[in-house]
Amino acid sequence: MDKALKPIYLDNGATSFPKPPAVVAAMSHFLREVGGSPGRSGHRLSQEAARVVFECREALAALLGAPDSRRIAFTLNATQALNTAIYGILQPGDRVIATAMEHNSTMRPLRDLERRGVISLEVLPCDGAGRLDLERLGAALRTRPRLLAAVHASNVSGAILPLREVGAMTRDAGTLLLVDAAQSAGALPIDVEADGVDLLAFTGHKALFGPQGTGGLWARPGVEPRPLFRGGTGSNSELEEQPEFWPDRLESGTLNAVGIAGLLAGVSFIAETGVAAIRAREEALTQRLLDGLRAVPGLTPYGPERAAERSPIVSVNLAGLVPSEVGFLLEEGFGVLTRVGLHCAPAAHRTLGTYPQGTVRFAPGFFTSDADIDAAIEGCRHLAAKKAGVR
Amino acid sequence: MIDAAGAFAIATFHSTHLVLKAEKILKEAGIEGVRLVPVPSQISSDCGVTVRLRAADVGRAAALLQPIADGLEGFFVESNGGWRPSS
Repeated sequence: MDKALKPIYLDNGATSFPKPPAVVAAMSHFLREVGGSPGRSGHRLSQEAARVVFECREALAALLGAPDSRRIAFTLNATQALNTAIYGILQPGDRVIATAMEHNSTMRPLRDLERRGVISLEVLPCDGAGRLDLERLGAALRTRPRLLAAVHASNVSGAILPLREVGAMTRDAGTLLLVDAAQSAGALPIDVEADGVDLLAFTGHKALFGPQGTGGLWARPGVEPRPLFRGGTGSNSELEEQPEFWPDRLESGTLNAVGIAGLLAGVSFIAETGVAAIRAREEALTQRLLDGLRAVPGLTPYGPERAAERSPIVSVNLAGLVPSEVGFLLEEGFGVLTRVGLHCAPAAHRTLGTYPQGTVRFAPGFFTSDADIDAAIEGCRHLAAKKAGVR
Repeated sequence: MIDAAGAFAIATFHSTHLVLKAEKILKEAGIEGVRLVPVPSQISSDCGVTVRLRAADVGRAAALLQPIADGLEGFFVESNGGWRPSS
């Protein structure tokens, strides 16, 4: 690869990059100046670390519409949050429904419980763009399953779940709604109260602009997941039993406080910029990308027609080329960085008709420029023309 | 000997999170002299911190902390070099 070729990062669906400068500054400040263990000691530096963790919880609660920030427990990522929700809530005999767009972070724990005979599982099909059929959902909810697991924004097709409608339906049915907000927290408006969510799993390192190793689980009061593991919490130290109260019940062991310091800066950046402004920018970038890619001969884009109906993700295939080749050639020739393959969601690819080869996924972010989008389109046009010439 | 008005009180909570929430609520309400201190060993063997305030402000603080009262263990007032539960 030409070393002078500037990388054009279109893999924000995997992790956002670059981060706002304040995120880097906050983490550097934490490591140089704070450095204490949050909630473990009484001294100034421990207090300072605890304050960072507290402020991050408060900022996340404000962003997600959670009335009580205590109900947000930090995890390493959305995967840990989803596992905590699934293993911590489901009981023998429970019936669960999941959409066909779920990530393996949801499907693998559910399939494990199903295989061991703990739960029964129904997967609701989605249309060719990855959209859930609400009539079928309504029919499935009439049987009053214990839990619906639904991804807010597909990491493959970008399709957005009509969260508020779905939340109203699960509330009426008395079914718990577990939302995988890995792609959406920070990128799309979320109000856990108004949207009728019961459990929300999010990651810090995607649209929340934090570092890898941060994430969390929110649960409505009365929805009390058992912890995946137990240990020191800095509280109730006289007891050898895990505390019942939040967030301590789910936060054993020293937290990733330096990561949470970065996440706080990321969430603060979102609060200052506004989710609406971030959404508007990312939607414009996605529409530009969709328009440009649709004009490339032999290119098939997947997912909903308009950018307004999707998160900033565009999965495609180029006729005559496998995704891995496209990804390689886009990087080699144009410096365009994408993700190729199955994106950890096999049922989603079956839905889109892209199993088993997968797709090439472009995922712009807030810091992507129009020129970056144009370079990706130009790269695809070039590859398509070259392929046509060979034929 | 510190008189009642000059004495300190502490409020103890289940979790560090609530200690910080209490500190925020009290400071935002303009209560002066609020600071975090290590939990006195006579009260708890926990390793964390708690909120210290002036004993004279306990009544007002209790009202302000109503939203998190479910996690409040209690108020303790300085007395003869120790701490006694606030009535």
